[in-house]
Amino acid sequence: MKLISGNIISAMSRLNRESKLKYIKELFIKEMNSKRMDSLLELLLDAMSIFFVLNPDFRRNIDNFRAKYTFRIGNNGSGASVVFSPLERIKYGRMIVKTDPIDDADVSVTFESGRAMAEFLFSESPDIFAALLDNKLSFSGNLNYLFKFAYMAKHLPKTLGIEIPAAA
Amino acid sequence: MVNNIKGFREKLKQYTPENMEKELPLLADLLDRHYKASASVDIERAYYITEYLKNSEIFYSPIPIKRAGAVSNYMSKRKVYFHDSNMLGGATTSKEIGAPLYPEFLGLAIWPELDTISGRKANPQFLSEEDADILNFEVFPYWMDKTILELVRKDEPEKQSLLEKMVLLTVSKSATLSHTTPCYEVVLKKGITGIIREAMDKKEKTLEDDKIAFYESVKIAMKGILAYADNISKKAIELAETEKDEAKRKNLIEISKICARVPANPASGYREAVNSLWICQVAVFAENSNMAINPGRIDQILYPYFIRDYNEGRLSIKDALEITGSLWFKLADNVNLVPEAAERLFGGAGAVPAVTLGGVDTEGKDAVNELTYLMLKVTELLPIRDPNVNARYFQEVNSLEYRDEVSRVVMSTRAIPAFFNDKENIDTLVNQGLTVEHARDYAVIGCVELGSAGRDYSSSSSIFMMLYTILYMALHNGKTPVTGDAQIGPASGDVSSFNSIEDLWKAYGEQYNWMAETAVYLNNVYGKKHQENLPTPLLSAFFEGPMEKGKDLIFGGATYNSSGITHIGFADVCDSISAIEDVCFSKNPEFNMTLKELVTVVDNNFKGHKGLRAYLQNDAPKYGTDNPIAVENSKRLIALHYNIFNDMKNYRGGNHRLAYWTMTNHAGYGTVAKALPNGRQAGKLLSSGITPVSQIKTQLTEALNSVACLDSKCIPGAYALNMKYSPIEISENTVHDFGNIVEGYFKNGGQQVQFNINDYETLMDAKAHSENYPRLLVRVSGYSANFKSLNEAMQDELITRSQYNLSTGRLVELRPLPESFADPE
Repeated sequence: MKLISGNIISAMSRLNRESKLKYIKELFIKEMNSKRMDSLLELLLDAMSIFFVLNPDFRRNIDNFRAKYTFRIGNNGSGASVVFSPLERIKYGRMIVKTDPIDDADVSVTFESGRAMAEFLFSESPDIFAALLDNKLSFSGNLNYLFKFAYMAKHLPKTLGIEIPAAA
Repeated sequence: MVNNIKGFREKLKQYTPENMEKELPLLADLLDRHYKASASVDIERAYYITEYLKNSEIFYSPIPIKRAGAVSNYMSKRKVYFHDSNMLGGATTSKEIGAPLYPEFLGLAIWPELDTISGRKANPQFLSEEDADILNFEVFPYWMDKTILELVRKDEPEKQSLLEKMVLLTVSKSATLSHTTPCYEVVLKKGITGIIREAMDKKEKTLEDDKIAFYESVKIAMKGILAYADNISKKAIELAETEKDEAKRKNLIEISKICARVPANPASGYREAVNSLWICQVAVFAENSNMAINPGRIDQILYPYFIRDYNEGRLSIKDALEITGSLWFKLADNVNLVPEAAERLFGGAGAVPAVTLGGVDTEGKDAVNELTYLMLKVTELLPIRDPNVNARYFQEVNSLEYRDEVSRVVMSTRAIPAFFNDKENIDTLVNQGLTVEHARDYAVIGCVELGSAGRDYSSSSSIFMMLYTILYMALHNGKTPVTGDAQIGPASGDVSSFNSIEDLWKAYGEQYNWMAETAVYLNNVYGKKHQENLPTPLLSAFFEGPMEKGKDLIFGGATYNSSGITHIGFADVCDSISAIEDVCFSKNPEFNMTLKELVTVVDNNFKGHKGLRAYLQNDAPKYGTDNPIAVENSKRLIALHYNIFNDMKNYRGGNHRLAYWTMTNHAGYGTVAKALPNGRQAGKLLSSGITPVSQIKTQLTEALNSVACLDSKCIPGAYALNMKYSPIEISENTVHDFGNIVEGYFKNGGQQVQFNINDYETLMDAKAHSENYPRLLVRVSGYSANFKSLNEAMQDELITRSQYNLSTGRLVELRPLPESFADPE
């Protein structure tokens, strides 16, 4: 099992909270300005897992939350899995990001591209039906888990003050 | 006409929109407030329902009792608000205009928008940060695995996934349990305490567990209503004690007295009856979603209370107008919660509670009475989106005076009410197995659907069939535009093998049959999930049947148990079939094309074939004209649909009633539909309801005749025919002319017609400068809407609708065509 957030976490290990946020923001801006946003999934999941550690208010979203997600960019592109599993004794929420696929995910989502993912997850008004109709998104499993994830993901650009990319 | 009051209509004429501020200041004030208020998300119901279910998880109790307990918990704990000087106590939500959230259905769809729904561009719905937190942390997590949609997905993941592609069909049970007309008369006569007594008597007499649970659940739900009415009464008197304004203080005291008596007891007067009916409507929304739950034939139900009070000097016409007007505003106090994802399809819709006026009584006699006229007057004075007012008209039974008064109100409001032809509609319901007495007592449901009030659990918007996708599948051997090479429908043949138009009809029939079977199967799966999880004891108590049988409505307790099927894109598909017949199979000398060649051109969105597209759009046979091919094909299409569904039963053992109304869906779905052989390009508007395609070359009478000749027995759910007239000056003659056109159309067999009286220029200006038209009311495809609240596609649809000149009957051409119609080449 490989944690994909290893690179960012080690790069940030000596930074204080504000510097960590600034570092993540820079990475996001760079990625948002790239044409395909191929690395956005990895970055998003890394950033979310760090946010949950840095921000107790944000972590409240996953306290007592048990769920498994798989994400993929393009049918043959990069993928990742996320497990939300609270620490039993203290009930703190925990987000674990993996490169391995999970068979029993509550919801599995495939985005056509990193840009399609950004347009959906970071949009002020995510239109899931338009995304489904345009084949920019496909999923299997429980839609409510995707709704919750989208709600949490939207907080990142908002908190970091990053402009949401316009729909293509 | 029942005519007990001499000179009544003359007295009503004294009240006009122009003098309302002086003569009816209460209604003028409420109208002003209504238009100033904006919609807010109301979480109170979601919170209390969830709270009860969380706390009751450790105890076993039958599902109906648990459900009734949850509803009762909400009704007894919800706060009571008086936002204005409305004469009625009770409100759908805690907000002035509220969008209640139903987490058991699609309420969780707003989860990603919790922080943005208040400020979104299209129809924002205010949600406070505090309420958003309650939803995020307390309400939504409980429902993640329990919403009806996800419960169905567990059993039917593949079919559910097909449903979510949205281009095939929609089964609305994931979103709602609604679309019916209760029998509030029972409450007015017996009172809630009478219903409780009846439930307990019947419980005592049965040994069957299911029936015992049903009657017990009715009692629990009814007690919730009593608690709510009691809270209204207490709050009103509490506020009266500190109210300085004498009129407001008196109003609060009166509300307090009324709600202390009703709906617990039978109503004794008009205001009590109206308030009792309203509190029951609010209670139904506590259990079932706020979509098309209809007060029904209230000019009939409320008449005995009105006439007694009036004759005995307790009620003046002014009082009756103010009480009835207060009900209109109450019916408009709620909207649907619409996530951004649904805005494109349903944006601008109200909750569409339909009020039905006039027509005949159960014996076939003229049912128009003074209250009918008074309610028409209120409709004229209060041009608001809800209620959806409909006027029934039975030729030669109802008077021409009544017909012309309805016409005058339509001309005055420029949009409401809609006209319904009693003769055709009663016949089609009798053909569905209703007794003639029950059929005569039909009320309009939501947009246009028909159901015997209080007897017919009609769930009339169960299934939406996308006809343009069915045609696409017939032309592509069972494949759909969004599922690529996957074989979705039956392999009905490659078009290159089609030798005649009959081959296309056969393929279309196969695809329609497959989609009908899929839709019915899914609707029944959803119905079973409703039975397992969402029984409706409260609503059941307001119907004929469930109390006698000891059986909930959703288990088939009502006298009649139909499901409604509506169709999107009728005229476009009809014209497409006619165009194919003309261009490919009629040896048309101008275009000698094979069907394969035509399909290729259409699939390429007519690129490089401007001439062919112009021919298809302007000169091929069109439904809405008297072209014999088009007339024949429209009749055949309607019959084909009816015959396929006629053999299928729903999960309650009832029929499927076919209908042709589209709300705003034809505009929304049009934005994602591919090009069609009638010349319509990809992404452009689809035709509305049963209405011919806009801007075809036709005349008013031709258009009306083409709809009237359709066999109404095949359309028991009714249809929406949208007609647009150039503005007309109101005079005795023009009103009579207006009525005569409706008369002729009905004589030829038309079932329904609704109007917009606005020209192209006004609507285009309203789109560009919405701030100048804050109260512009339009008919969409079954209901009314504020023009400014509609999405762009729907605004364009209204602008481009064919406009006719009433005096000449000629089409007023729209030139140049706006972008939504223009060829991009």
